[in-house]
Amino acid sequence: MLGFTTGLRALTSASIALDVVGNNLANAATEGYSRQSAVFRSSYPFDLAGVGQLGTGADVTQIRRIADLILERRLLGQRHVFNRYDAQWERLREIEMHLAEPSENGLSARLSALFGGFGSLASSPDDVSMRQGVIQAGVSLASSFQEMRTALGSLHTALADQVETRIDQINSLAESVAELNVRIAQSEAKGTGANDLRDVRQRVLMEIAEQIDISTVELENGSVNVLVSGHLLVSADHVNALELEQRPDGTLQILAGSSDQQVIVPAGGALRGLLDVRSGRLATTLDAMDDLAHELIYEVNRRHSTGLPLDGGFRYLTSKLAVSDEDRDGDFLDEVLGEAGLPFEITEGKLTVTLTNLGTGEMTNTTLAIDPQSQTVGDLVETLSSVEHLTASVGATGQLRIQVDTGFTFDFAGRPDLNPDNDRTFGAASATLSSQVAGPFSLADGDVLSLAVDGGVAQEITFSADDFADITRATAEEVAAVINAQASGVVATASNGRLVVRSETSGVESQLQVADLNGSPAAELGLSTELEQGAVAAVSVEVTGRYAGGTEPPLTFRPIGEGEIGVAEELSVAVYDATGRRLGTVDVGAGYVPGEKLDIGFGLEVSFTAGSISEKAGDFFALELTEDSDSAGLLAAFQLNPFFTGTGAADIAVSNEIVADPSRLAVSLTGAEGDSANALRMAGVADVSLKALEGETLAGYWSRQVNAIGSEVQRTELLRETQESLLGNLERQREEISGVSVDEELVRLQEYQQLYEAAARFIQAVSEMVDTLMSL
Amino acid sequence: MTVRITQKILFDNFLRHTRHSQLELFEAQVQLSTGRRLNSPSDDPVGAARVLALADSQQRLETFEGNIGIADSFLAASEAALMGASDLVTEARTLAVQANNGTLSEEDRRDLADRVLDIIDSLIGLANSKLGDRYVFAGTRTSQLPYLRQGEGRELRVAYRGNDDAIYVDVLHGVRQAVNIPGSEIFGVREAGELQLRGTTGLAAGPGAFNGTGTLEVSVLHESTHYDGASGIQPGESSAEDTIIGPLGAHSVTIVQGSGADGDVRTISLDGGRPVEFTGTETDLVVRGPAGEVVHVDVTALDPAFNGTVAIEARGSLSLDGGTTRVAIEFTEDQRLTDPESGISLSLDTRAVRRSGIEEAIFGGTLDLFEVLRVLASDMLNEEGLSQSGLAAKINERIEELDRASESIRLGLAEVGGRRRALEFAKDRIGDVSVTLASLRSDIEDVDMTEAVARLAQYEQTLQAAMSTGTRLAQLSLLNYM
Repeated sequence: MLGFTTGLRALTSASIALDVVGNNLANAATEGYSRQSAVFRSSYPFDLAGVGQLGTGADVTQIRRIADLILERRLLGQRHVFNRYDAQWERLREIEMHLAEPSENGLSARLSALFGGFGSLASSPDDVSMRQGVIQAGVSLASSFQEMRTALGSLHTALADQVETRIDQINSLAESVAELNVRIAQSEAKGTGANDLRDVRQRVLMEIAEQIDISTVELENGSVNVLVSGHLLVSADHVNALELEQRPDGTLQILAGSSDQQVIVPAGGALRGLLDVRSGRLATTLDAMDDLAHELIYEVNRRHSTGLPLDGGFRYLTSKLAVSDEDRDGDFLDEVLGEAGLPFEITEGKLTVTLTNLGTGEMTNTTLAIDPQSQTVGDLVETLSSVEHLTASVGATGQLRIQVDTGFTFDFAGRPDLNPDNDRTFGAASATLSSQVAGPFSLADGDVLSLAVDGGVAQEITFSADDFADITRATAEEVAAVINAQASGVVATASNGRLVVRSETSGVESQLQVADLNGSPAAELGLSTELEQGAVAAVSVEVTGRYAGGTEPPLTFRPIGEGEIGVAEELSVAVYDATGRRLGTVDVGAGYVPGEKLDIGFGLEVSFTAGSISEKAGDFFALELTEDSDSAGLLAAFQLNPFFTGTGAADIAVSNEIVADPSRLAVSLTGAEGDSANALRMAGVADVSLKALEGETLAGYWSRQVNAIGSEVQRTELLRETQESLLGNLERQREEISGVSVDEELVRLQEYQQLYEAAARFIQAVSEMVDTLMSL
Repeated sequence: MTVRITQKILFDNFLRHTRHSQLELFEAQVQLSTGRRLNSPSDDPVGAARVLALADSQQRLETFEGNIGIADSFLAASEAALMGASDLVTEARTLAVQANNGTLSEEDRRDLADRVLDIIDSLIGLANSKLGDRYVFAGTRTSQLPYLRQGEGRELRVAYRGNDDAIYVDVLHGVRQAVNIPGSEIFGVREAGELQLRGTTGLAAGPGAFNGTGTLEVSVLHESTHYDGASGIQPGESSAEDTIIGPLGAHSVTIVQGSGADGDVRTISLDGGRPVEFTGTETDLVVRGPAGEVVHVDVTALDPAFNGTVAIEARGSLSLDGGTTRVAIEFTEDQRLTDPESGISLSLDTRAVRRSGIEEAIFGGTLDLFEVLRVLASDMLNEEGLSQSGLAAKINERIEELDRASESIRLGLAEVGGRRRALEFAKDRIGDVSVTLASLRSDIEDVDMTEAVARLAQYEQTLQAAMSTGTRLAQLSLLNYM
């Protein structure tokens, strides 16, 4: 009688199946739980000879974990893709938030406000509140830069911390996987299966996949090996932990294990997202901010440093930036300018210094050549100090200091030389003969020139080859030296390559006449042989305006015709550029009122006082002009009289002298309080396309950055959403297969309960049958 | 395999959908409450970049607008002052016409002159007009009083201490306009012309060049008188007050013997003027020439028998500073006179100088309104004691000059008017562009309210539907039937 055994078997099986259902119901909400089901198998049948086999009931042979292993692997593979974009999106949003664009507080608005301020200042340059306004706009802009730079800089650091935390997390999760591997292998070796342990391991693997892309290989004993881009992170029960290294340039590197130090570049997971943002957009944005600030500082300073504050020129200036002792020999002066550690570039060019004598109001321009490759800092100091009354020095801190003698001020506004006829070669009071053309002159050995001074006896001047380096290419200086040595009553000088011979007396009695005695030195030297007379009053020339560029200086002015300015019928002054091209003429004959300003173009006007000028006598004067009085960018590089100090977004600030004293704002180019020409120049920075900013203007460059960040956020968000729905689908698929359906379990519950009841009834029936049998 | 829908799927779905709807609802609500569609660059990257550019343009327009406001008030202040100046010049002209009336008493003239001096003061006030703290006629030297009054009466001078520079502002992109008119263009005009000398000494302009503005007084001074020959006539005691000047022979005295009834009366006359009788004991006899020139002679040593003409050489000098610095008259065609202090240099024809006096040098073409008025006042007083017709001629010259000054002020006013019209035009342009910019920006940045409200309602409905189906599904369970 097999009834009892069969019944007992059925009872046991049903109760096991009920327990499984109970466990499923209890885990209906457990994350990562795979439902289980009891697998019933008929037990071995009993052979009834001649009848056949009699079944002996059913056993629960296995509690099966219902899971699709392929699907689980796909989930593992999808997880890291989503997490990569998710992490990236979140951090990008953070960067975007710090930009505060478009708003009143963004860099764009503040840039506009600064340049708008300069533009407004142009209309009221002497209004202190307007000056304050511009300075405040500068301060706000600088603090915007600094705040944003600090915020993004700390995000940069925070990202490194986050990466480190996540790597620690991966390592500890990897330890868990290794531990679970051991337990699963043990359980499965015993044949008991390890359904729940596998669920836990799957969950841990999923957590690793959130951080970094992994692939898994299941071994025969049930352990899994975990690989991170080819590197074995978990090998059965062993973990090769990941390490984080911060390189000197600030970039992060993930190294595999301590043994081989292989560099791992994650292909997915939050780590990849964080690293991408850190070395990608965040680094780009930081660089862009620094570039923007750098160019802003340089371009504004270029103009500010060549302007004049409200109270005119300077008595002393100290540079904000210092040269450094690059070769560490304790001496600042031996460094080549271009390699003296200045953060702004100095180019080859010229610097024009204007000295104003406070007593007489007289201004003198001196133009200095600057070559950053051949000149040392010491050379620069020497060059600057060579300007009369000016002293330059480099202090112990490496800062350049320029100061001027008492009674003078200096500036770099580069006004045209007010009185360009310094050599008095244009309508002088003394009889003056000048070469018609600039030297060198082709003289011959033994040429003799006769020179009659003030109606006296003609003096003979002999040119001997010994007096010249090359007599066929005699310079004006050499000729002048010969004349000075042999003649009396005259002074010969060289001016702009021309020979100038001047009688020592002045007035109408002052006379000069030259003639050839041997050879043709007069013709060679370009000297007129007609009688040249002095005048009661010298012509003085005044140039006003501001050179607007457009020609090749120096300009040379020469009369056409002879006679008195404002009187002679046919008299004009021709203007030539450096190449000798005639740019135009101005009429100074009858009808011209001495002192009247005549427009010669290029933003300049010239006026002449009364007196005689002569074409034949070679009257001329040269006008040195600079469109940019600091074409070398020296002042901006040293930050002498700057508007902004600092070199990048982190340290940009408005010069503290200007903040403390708004009159230091260099609004003018002439020193007049109503002159705002320099404010207009600074306002113009807004429209300058800058090579360093990829040909964009300042605002255009920044707007491009904002656009780039916005686009990247948008793109990443789209990717993230796509991945999210993909992942959602996979998770739903997994849920469809492995999830617990309460209704289903309730049905099973009923089923197994009824099975149990039926089995009990069966045992009861068998028992009654036995009772019946026993009562026989 | 059949599709199994577990409770987790149901609830997850429910959660996801309500969450999504809530997010959309929240965004729609944010847009509606801020009125802005574009709150961060990622909302619309291209739009964000456009908005930044548009905002920059708007800021520029604001700057231009501010500049136009300031420029216009500056020009309005100039305009008001110029209109005042024009009235004053007209008033001065009326006074000048009145002064031409021959019947005026000296007191009337003094009255008129005082009123002209008052006009000068008012004019200085106008020329020093200020807008806020800035002088409008000072060029770029806006904080310095441009017209400084120095001296009184004949010495009254008004010095211009501003400059000729213009203050420029940007009023539109690439349009730069001058805000100010330097006073030098209005109250002192320089144009081509000739040097004129007004006076009775015979001094004339030379052929050489000159510089200087306005008018200048040239003093022609008598230095010494020498009598030619051995007549014995000598300069009188007050000979320093002689007013004749000229090279030898230009002037002469004629002594006539015995023209009287008893034959012992002698007479002396200068250049054929009225003969003066003398006895021979006079040490300081005043003899006047036909043009009013004067010599003082000492006849005590005169040869009693002398009868005839004595040629005179009268030396003189020229001075630009009232006699402090003198240059001897050389009686040449082109004698140069330079004032060491001001640098003014003149070419003078001194050949015909015959008497001392004050010459007024007028720098042709240059006109200093203050100087014209000052001279008008002094002409009105007739300090030089000119005849009625001479005075009328002088005053008529002043009237002519005032007309020219008036013209120059009118030109200035026209210039100011033109610039204000240009500013008005720029302002209109800015108005138009502002509207366009604002609407462009609004298109990108602002929420379409109707659309947003519709969307809000839509999300609201979706959320409600999700919630009601969700809760109904949640109630469904086999348990209810067990």
